[in-house]
Amino acid sequence: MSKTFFPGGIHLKDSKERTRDLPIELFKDPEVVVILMSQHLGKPAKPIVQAGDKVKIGQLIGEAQGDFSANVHASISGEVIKVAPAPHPVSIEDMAVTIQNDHQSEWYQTPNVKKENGLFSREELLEIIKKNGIVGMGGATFPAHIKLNPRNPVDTLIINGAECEPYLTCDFRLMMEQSDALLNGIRTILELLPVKQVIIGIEENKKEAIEQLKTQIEKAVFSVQVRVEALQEKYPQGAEKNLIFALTKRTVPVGKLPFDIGVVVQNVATVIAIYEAVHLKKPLIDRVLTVTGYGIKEPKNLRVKIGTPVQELIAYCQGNTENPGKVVFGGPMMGVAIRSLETPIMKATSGVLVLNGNISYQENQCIRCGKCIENCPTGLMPVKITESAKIGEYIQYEKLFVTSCIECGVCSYNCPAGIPILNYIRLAKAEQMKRRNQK
Amino acid sequence: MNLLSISSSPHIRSGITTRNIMLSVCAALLPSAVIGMAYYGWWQIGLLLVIGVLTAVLSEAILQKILHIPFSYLDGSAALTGLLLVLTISPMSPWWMPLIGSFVAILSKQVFGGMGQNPFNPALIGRATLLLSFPIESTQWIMPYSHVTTATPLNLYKMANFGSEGLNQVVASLGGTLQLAYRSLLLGLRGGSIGEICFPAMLIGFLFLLFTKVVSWRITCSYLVTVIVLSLLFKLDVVVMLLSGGIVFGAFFMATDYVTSPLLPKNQLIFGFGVGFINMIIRRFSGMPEGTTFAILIMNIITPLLDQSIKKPVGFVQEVKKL
Repeated sequence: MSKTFFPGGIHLKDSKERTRDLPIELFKDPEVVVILMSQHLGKPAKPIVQAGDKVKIGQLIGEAQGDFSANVHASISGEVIKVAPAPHPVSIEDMAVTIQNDHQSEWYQTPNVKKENGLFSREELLEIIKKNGIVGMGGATFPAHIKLNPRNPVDTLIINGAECEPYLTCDFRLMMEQSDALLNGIRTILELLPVKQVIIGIEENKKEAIEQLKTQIEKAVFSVQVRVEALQEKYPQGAEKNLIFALTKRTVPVGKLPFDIGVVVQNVATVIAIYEAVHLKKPLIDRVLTVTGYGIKEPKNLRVKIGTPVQELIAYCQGNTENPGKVVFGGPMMGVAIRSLETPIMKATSGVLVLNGNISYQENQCIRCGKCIENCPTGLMPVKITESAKIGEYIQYEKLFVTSCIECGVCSYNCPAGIPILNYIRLAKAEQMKRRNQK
Repeated sequence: MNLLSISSSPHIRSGITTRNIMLSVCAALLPSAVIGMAYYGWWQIGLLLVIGVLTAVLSEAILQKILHIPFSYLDGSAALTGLLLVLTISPMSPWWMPLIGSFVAILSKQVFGGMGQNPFNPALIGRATLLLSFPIESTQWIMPYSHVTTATPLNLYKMANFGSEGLNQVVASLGGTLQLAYRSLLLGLRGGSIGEICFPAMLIGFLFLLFTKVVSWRITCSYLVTVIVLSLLFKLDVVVMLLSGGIVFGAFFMATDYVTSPLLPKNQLIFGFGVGFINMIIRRFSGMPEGTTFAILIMNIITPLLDQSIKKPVGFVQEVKKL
């Protein structure tokens, strides 16, 4: 029996068939990259280059500001032509550094980190991860050096290979093609995080990856137990709290974080990025993503430089760049629709989906079917939050635990009346956050 | 700059719509409707069904126009209400009964603001109105095929105060032996409302709704279990109690109405229990022969109260334990 979370969750058509068997292709370096300073959870990084500066691949161009911020690096070599706001998927516009490619592909020499007996100390490892700007690449963009330095002792490391969003196949391809790097990344994390077990959770629609990793782990040597677990194909299996429950039967208490119950979760791509940073001295300057969807004729899995404008990827995959429809960064359930084709690829862009933009969803009256309650993986009552949000009944928000919502979108997806339930929840959530901060 | 159309996530939808759901329930009622026509006359019952459904849809359109409610008369919910109403009235009903019943049913929904806002099951309001306004026309029962005037088995049982004498009368009216009587009850060869008589037909429809996940088992099961337990407690014949009136139809298709039943699983169990309890109290102790309609309507009043309760999210209990 494969493992899963409950309550709630839904079965989605996985729509991965078009790209799941396509090897990762290297996307040629673009003429121009636009590197956003805000690609992580915390404050935007501060640009430390000016127009006219020459930069090399891997050179620091944005300095982290504060704890939850992360460094940003040049992904190509060339000349900085602009330090100005550029389209951002979430905040519409944000500061970015634009680099003109000189096609020299020169690497910036990272100063050597002190090494004792060929081994890094815990602090050195954290410093390397921090310096190289590694953030959670599954979508949450939580800086890795914070996640790997938990306040509480942790005993379990979970590697998230669930990839429960439909369409996306980039994590699957990484597990198939870079499994050595993945296992080495796990070893690296084990050096700085003394856990008792490592669990790699993979949804069972990725059987090949499960088999391959199992075989490799059997042969490999680890300091602790490392095992692969097949997860039921159920959305949102890869959501952090659901994944933890599915694999360890531990529940993250309301308002707490995974490390409070002794667990750290890292996405497959992040683990590989950590390996590359520590062993190849490579900052987070590129990532693998899936370009697919209704409007893409030749879907692909691509390794793309951070900062590549999305229209180049759509053009490369034979999509319509004139009137593409709806373009989504990420998966169809949790991804963000972007407003400009000039929006650059970011550290957490796991996919570029071109969907039919002409679908309009009519909002009808709620028939009180209760499907949103039944399917909510967090055990909330979306219908009641919607009722309250519609009339601004904010007294109810606390009682309805609006801030616990993980925004997986299952409620909106399933609503027979076509009510954008999650939008109402977001309204309530924002209001509740504001009120909390005022207190 | 060429701007794209945007929307917030999720960017895909399941495709399940209100209309799908309403039409599924209509489909689930088809076996019962067909059996009703076969038993009581194709033309006669067919006419009642057509009048009931058309009146419901037309009333919804007209009332939505008058009350300035956005048009949704073709979403299947009005048709479903009309269908449900006709299936719960007497096969001897004159043509104007579904007309009035359907109109009142839809009116009871629209005056509260339409879909999702009605506190009472519309079809049952229609039926209750007919029952109270036209008691004679509403309680004329005939046997299937032969169309001989008869009393419902439940009524016979009740007239004898649910004693063994009453049971004997039920058995006598349904073939002579207990076994034959049970068989008749199961197949619906008895007097009763158009759609409520044939258990297998209703079961097929209900299983369809269960497997397509349109309804959950909770309300139906807790309703039926309560009826069975109370029947045993009151020392009544369980089979006769279950199959002689409208309980099965009510438990399968009426009590499970989304709008007028509670949201949370736990409350659905309470709701089902409440309906079963009130139903049995009415049957056993009141002057009325049948209590399904009023039992469900009474519990409909409780639904908003039950819906006040708030479910705790995942991870809540653990936190309390720690403190």
